[in-house]
Amino acid sequence: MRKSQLYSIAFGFSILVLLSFSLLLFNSLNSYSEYSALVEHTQVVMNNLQKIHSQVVDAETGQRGFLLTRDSSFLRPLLIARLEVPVTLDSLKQLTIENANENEQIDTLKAVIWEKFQIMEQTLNISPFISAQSLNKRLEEGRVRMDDFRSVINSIMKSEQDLLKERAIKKLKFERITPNYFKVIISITAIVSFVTFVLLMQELKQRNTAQTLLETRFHALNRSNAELQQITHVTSHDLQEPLRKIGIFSDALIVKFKNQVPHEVLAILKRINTNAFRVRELVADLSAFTSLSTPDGKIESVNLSDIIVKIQTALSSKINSLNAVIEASPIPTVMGYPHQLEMLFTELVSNGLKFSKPDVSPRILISSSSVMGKENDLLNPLRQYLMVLVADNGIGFEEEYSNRIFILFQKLHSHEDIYEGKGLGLSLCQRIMANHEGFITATGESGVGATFRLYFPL
Amino acid sequence: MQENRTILIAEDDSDDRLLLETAFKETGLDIELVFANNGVELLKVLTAKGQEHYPRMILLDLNMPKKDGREALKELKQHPLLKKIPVIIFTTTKNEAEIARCYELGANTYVVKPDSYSELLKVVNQLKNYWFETASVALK
Repeated sequence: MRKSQLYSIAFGFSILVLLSFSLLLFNSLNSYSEYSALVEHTQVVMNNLQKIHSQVVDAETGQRGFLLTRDSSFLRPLLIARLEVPVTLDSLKQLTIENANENEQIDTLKAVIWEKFQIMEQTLNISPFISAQSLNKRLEEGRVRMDDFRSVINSIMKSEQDLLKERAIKKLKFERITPNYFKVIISITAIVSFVTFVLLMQELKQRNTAQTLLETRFHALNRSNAELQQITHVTSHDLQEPLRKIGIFSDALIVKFKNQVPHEVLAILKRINTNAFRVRELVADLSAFTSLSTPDGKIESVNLSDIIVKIQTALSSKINSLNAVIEASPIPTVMGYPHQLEMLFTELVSNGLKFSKPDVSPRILISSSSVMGKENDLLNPLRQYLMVLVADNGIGFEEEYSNRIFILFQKLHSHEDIYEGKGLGLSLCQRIMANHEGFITATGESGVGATFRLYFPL
Repeated sequence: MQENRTILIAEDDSDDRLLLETAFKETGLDIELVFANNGVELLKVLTAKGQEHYPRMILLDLNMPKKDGREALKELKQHPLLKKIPVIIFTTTKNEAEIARCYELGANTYVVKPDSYSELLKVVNQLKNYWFETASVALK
């Protein structure tokens, strides 16, 4: 019992450890994929910033080229930048929507670029009409704006780079830790499986040993049962015959020669005869008892009330001569061996009649009730029983003998002249109750009466 | 023709034979007891002689070596001539199924061996008065 409790605790614990590690693994996998996505996101943002940067720089370079050469093909990068940069800025705005600081910087960047483009376009528009000095001044203004642009974009780049660094470190951390969780889970599973296997094999081995032992015992029991049956057969047939003959021959001597031999001889012959008869009865009872060890017949539904009526009829001459009263309330049917149950109640009723007080009419009460097994230590506490009570008002017995009276050939009352019997009846009752998976108990009070309780499992 | 006053007793136990002999002697010296040790001997004795030497009745023990009482009873009651002889089963068995079977096989009556000599005397007297003197004559 304690061992199995220990196993349960160990099993529960390992399941708990496995679950914890699985949870850790799940979290770690989640974080890893989250940081992978974030790293990718940062890279997209940085790519977009790079793109804007190079397009603005190209536009600036193109503007200068045009101013120097007046070749309109130099204006292409500016035209492309005018078209594409706002789109890229919008997508950057979307990408950084969760980063308020950066989002604000993107707005600043947008404004700076806008101003830059304004200055570039104005410069281009008025360049044919202004002096070289004025042009230089405007270009200087454009350069200042360009510095502003660089500073803003570098700042955004810098913060993105910081983010990338931070996210890449975390991604790496989870990338490294996840396989470890896997290893731990696999190791625990392997250990638990191995231990379970070893324990199972041990248990199986023990069971096999126990089963082999059980089979050996079972065969031994069968053998001794067969021997017991042989002994029963020998006692009931082969032993009975010589005893019958001792009785009948001694009786023949008494009958034939009673007028020819001295009284002393007759007295001795009578004693031989009586003893032969007693031994025969003992042998017959013993063989009846041993034959109960191998129940014959089929278990069927038995009406105990009918059996009691039958017994009353069979014992009527004795009941009448003792002026006895048997009061039986209706008893439900039980499953059992009819012949054995008849023997059982015959014994109990006869017992009540036999051990009656010399000056009091015997009164035997038979009743029944349904009880739970908890009522008595002998019983299975989880089962329900039909309790049949047989109580008499006879000489009773001392409470301390309540177990001894069921022992084979144990007699409490040695006055053989008054109370006949060989002390087998109650052992027979106990055996019969055992054959019905039931129990019998006896309680008594000297001079007041005896009460027998029969418990039949329901 | 001289009256045949024989009882054929199939009994393997010498004590029981002695007891029966003693008891029958007490009822008078006019009956001749012929003993057989088993069923085989019983049938041999019966078939060796002619019908006029048949016993008035047969006392048959059930448990005997070679051929037991049941088999002997069955053969007796299937025989066209022997079946007329009254057969009294005389045995220790009190088993009701056994008793019923013997009657089925044709036994005329069934007597359980008594436990006391006085009882035995009563049984022997009854056998003599009813089966020997009355019934067996009527059956002829």
